Amino acid sequence: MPQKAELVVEKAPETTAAFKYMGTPVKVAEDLIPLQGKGQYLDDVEIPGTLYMAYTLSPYGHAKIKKIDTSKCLELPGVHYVLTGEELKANMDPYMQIAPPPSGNLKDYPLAVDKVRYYGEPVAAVVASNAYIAEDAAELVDVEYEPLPVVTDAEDALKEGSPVLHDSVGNNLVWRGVWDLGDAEKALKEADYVVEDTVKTHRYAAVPLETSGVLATYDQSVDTITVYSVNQMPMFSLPIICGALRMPPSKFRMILPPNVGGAFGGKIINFTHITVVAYLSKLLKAPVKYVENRSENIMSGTHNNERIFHVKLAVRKDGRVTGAYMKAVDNCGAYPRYEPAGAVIWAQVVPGIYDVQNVYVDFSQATTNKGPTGPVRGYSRIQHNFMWERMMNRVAQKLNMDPAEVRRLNLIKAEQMPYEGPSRTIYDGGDYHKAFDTLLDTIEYGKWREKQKEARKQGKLIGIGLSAVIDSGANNFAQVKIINPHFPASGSMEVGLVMIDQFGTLVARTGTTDQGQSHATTFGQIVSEVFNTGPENVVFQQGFDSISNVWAAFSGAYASRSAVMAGTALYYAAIRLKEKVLTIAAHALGELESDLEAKDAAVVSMKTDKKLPLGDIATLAWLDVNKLPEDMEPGLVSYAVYKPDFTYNMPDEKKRVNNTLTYSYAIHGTVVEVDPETYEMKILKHGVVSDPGFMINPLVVEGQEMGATLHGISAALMENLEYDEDGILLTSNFWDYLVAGAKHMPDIDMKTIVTRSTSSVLGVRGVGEGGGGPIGSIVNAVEDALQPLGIKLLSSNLSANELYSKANKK
Amino acid sequence: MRPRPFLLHRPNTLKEASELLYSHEDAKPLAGGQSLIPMMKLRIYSPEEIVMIGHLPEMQPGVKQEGSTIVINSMTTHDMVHHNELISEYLPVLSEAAAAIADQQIRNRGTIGGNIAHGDPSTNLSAALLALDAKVLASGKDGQREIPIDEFFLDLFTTALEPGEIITGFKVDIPKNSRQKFMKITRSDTAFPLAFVAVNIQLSDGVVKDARIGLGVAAPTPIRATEAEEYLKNKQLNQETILKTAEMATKDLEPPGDVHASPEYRKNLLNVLMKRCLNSLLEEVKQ
Ligand SMILES: Cc1cc2nc3c(=O)[nH]c(=O)nc-3n(C[C@H](O)[C@H](O)[C@H](O)COP(=O)(O)OP(=O)(O)OC[C@H]3O[C@@H](n4cnc5c(N)ncnc54)[C@H](O)[C@@H]3O)c2cc1C
Repeated sequence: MPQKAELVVEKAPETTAAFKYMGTPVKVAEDLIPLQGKGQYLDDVEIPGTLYMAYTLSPYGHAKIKKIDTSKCLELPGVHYVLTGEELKANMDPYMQIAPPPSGNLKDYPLAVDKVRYYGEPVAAVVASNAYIAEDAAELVDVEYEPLPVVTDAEDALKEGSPVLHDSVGNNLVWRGVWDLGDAEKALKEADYVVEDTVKTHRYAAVPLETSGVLATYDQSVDTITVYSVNQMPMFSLPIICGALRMPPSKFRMILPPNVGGAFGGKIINFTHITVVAYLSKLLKAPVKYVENRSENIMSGTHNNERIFHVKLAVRKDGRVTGAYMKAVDNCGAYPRYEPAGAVIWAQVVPGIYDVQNVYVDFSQATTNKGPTGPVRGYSRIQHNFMWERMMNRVAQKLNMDPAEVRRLNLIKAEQMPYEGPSRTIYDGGDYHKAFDTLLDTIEYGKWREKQKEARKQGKLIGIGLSAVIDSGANNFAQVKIINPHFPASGSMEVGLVMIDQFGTLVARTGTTDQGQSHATTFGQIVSEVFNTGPENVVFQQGFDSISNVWAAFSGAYASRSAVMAGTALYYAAIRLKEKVLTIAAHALGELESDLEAKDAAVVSMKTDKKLPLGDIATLAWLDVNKLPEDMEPGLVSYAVYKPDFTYNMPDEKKRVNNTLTYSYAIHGTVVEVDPETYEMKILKHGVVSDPGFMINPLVVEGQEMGATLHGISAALMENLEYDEDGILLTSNFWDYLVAGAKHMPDIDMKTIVTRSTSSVLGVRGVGEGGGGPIGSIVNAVEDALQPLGIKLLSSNLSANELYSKANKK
Repeated sequence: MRPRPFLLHRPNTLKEASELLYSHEDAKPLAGGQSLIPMMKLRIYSPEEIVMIGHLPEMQPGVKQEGSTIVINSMTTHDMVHHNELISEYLPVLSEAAAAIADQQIRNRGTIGGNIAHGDPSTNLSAALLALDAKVLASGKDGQREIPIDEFFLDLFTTALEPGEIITGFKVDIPKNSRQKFMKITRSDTAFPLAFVAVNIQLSDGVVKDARIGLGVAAPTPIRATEAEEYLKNKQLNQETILKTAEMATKDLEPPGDVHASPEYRKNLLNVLMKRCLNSLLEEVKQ
């Protein structure tokens, strides 16, 4: 089918009432599959003759590798091969680095070379006939280490005299950038008050239910490696892998199984596993499989960015914040594998949700002897949002104002929408005040303030916390050019394919892969809408295969982009296909196209009531092709690549760019009670009001928001990757690394107010990440509860143990 | 996360099992596997031989009353202990302790015998059985014996079981006029418990006639708060005596510390739980 260069598609209708299938809470059929154990995950893919790989891991945070003796390991029956960093170094190039030199000179291989730089770093990869033997054999690799001084704190890592992780770089700085937007210095000078504080966000992990895994096979006949993986952006990761292995991408077939058990950002930098397993499968000419165990996943399967902010806010007497001046230092961990992207991603939410145009940020990122960081749900914005929410409370404290009032005063107003932030992000509509007031009503804010007074009289510690966050979605890759102007990517795109099979069923595919976000249902609704036909006539094909699937280089489910990007691509593809269907029908029925409409798996004439089922049209298009209109290409396949216009598409010299297409927002409110004896924290009430834009399926949106809320609760109250001073991770399995489950979920009062996105075609906003809303509201609430004790909190993670020690120190 | 290789035995009789365990120094019995298997998978403990005991007739789950004694067989699961009527009626502290173990899946598999044999200060049932003055029934190659629970826990993961001895069950005399309570604090059901306390007091007209207090995660082994027990005897239960008991039960403790609780914090929790247990019993009595 000839592709039109320019898509001329009218915007989707303004109101939900105009829709029949989109906007309705269609039951999510695919949810039952994994619940019944019927899902097909990576580890369910089995190929006869597969060998299994296991890693030997570093027991040190930082050490020189003096010698690796593999002889005992190789003696174990069933062992096929032991791979070390030395061999890899001789046969591959280090991964490309996003940052320019000097930190771009960093040499990163999937196995440690010469040195180990974090606890749990893979040092050798052992291949054996089964997974048990592989794990036994991995213990037999004898590595002689010489421990080196360790640095785990990012600020320490940037000090003169700190241990240096990468000699080829010379120091630990990954990247430093200064955003000087508006005039923050002037704002500070003219301010009635300068509110100053330090805010810290802690390190936690993505922890998907299914860990990462790879199965690779090598086909000698065509010299091609087939990789089954769970990578979230397979075609973006592929050039990174192929560049390192010096193979053309076309010699790599990337497949994702139909089911992926969650990702939360944690399945992007797993390209290291893919590289090793692919290399081994080609070397050994055999299928090789590796699935991370839980500890490996926790130790190095993506940590989020730990960050410290030193902030000064310029504040007017009435509580208006007029400027922000800050230094931020980000802890990258041992290897920048998607970093330092996080050093610019936060700039999607420069002013947070507030109307502040003067912002100065001096941002540095440092390598340390901790696990590698990368995207984790709310990637890099959670930190920035949290900073704002903590600082807003500081403003309230300073001015002796109600923290709700301070926020209301500073929120961007509905009439300012779409709002252009100081770095040219375009907040795509919304009514922040309405959402905020709805939240206050939802959690009965005023009533709890009264209750709090009473409770304090009785020695009870009750606190109320608020948090208002932006959840930016559908990223513009051009923002990475702020770090490196030569970074060869910009914009965004996604692909949709819609076809009609020989029997008339609508079939849809995209380049994104569902990780539990209910793509089949949501995308099915979009195709249903265009063809005005029930979801029973639509099949969405899950999974990904680079040789038969449609894909764009940015394809994938990450950055809250699937509904916005893939949804739009499918919408366009479906409209194109419908045009062709109507043309064929008009020809067959001898009517005018303008008199025809698609309806209930058929095309019907509004004039004559004549009806042609899609099955009949399919017969014409696929089989009885001589009956097609002259010059028409047979087949019923349509394909669209959606590339949005971000208005400010490229960063300017002041680092200003519209970083993402949509900016959803959520207001969280938490009421907690802290036990004055045990310091246990209990959530008495939690409310969320969000604006996801138009909801293709409200159930799916609610699921995402619930998940993000639980994730935030877990981050604030449980999950913490705690390292000791030797760089040993103290919480490397579920015994110590605590993750909230359904039982920890308080009742959540969730509401949505809907305003259409002014920038996305369907009016939707990405909502997959949530912006870490509950983290701020919980920490603020706990600090509020502890106010009678005068305890000040610093970090985004709280434990009763820590509160107890704070309370008893004074 | 796979265990190192091991040899699996499935003996036909209890005697055979004992002999296997006696003659193979590195052999370990397997009950519910809820402590043993995770340690093997994490490769922090790797017995070379495993002896299955769950299928043996003497080990089968069961709770019965023999006169004024309750007998609980070794393979009785935490879930069964929790829901058993005799236990709920006469030994509620044990039922509450079982209910507070981990999650439902673990309670479906884990057994009372394994919980005690493990010799871990963080096992709920050990504190409860200490409070109940239970007897451990052990069967070895030379026959049966009863070990008072007070003499059972020797050190961390070390018990009074002789080589080849297997726990077949427990005996508990039904306490008279007893009030019992179990309380625990944990950050997550399946995480290492922060602290717990099991209390069993005999009351007569509001006066404590006898008291037994088991403390969890308070020392390298499950322990009793003997000094506090002594103090409480013949005292009226009131705010003052409760505070004093809690103080005495915890003042000399040196509990272990970890990422979730410093020794000081744990000590504080034990103190708080002690007070809360006694207060809740006081409430019960008042009603
Ligand atoms: C995630 C998780 C959380 C947990 N949390 C708690 C908790 O909060 N509180 C708690 O009390 N427990 C907890 N447990 C442990 C659980 O209660 C175990 O079930 C129990 O400790 C051991 O019982 P088992 O039958 O599973 O024994 P196994 O694991 O089979 O055996 C444990 C040990 O006892 C020995 N053994 C077993 N049976 C006998 C016998 N009859 N005679 C002699 N030796 C024997 C074994 O050789 C082994 O050394 C937890 C377990 C897990 C996995």
